[in-house]
Amino acid sequence: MSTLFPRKKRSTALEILTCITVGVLAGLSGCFNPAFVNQLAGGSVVPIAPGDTPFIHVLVINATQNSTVGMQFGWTPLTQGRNTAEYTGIAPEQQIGFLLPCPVEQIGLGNPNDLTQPAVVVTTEGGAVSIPASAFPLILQRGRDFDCGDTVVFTVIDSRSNGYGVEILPGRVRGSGQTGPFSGPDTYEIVELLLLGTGLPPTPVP
Amino acid sequence: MSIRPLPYAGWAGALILAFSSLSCDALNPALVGDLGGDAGSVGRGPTGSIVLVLNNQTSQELALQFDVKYTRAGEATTTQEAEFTAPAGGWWTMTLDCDTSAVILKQVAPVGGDDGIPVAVNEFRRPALQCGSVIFVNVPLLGSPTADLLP
Repeated sequence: MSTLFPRKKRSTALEILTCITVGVLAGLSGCFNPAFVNQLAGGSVVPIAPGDTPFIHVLVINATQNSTVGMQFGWTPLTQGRNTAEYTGIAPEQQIGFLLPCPVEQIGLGNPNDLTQPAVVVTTEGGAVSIPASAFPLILQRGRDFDCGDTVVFTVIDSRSNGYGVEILPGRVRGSGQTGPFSGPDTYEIVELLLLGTGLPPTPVP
Repeated sequence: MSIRPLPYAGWAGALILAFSSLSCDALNPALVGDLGGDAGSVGRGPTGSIVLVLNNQTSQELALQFDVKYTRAGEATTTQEAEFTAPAGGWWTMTLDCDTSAVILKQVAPVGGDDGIPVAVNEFRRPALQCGSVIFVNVPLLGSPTADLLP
């Protein structure tokens, strides 16, 4: 037996080696869901909010079991001549969203140009349910509910507490609380640089 | 007869257990949430995004039509048709789930018009397409639309 590596130290070294091997092989297996890895890492792999780039990320998370969701959003003031956007066909467990250039004062559900349009459409095997904006009067205000650099999250969950079968929970990921640097792509930084490169830059952070 | 413990049997067991759990289902974030008693109520939180940008330098509103393939751990791949528009002389984005395994751009078409223009490079797949990636579709005033994947 080698005297350079006493039995106890050899054992410890092997244990450490085993741990490293498990970690490396698990990573190489590609089995870990990238979203899961990022969630476990608290968003340190890739950003989950725009942070110091001049955007607000509006994100819908469909956390229902079996419902496909469509949502319409409105905001003030106009940006690029628009104050509304619609995203449909969001399947269960899916996350879909869009970026708004700062500054934005208010973000809410529904189409501010036509309040008769449904703010949310929930489709199940039993058919589609249209939900007016008044059912979930969510109007988020800058400074109180979000700031430039945040991700504003609308999570749709199953609910039996109302006749619509779903509930919408607003939330935010504070850009200011996001810790970098990131080991993966710095998503929003890339978007900002690309837009700057084509001469259509987003508005700088005030 | 005596049973002698194998050296490092505990570690070997841990190793086998670790790899047996790599069937991916066990690592599904929703399942982890369910075990914690949380996913049933609010599901998982934001997990990062893939951003698709349509940069429109033309004088008319344009729609980008594309297919998105989602591949979740332990589940079959699903495909969805999608579309969003960018105003004339402006840009718009759509942020996609990190479970997106491929984005196939079909065409850029004027809103309300008939004729779309295909994008020269139009398929982006894993592993080049990863969580945090940006697909930048640029439509110049003159010339054909281009698409780039970054990084």
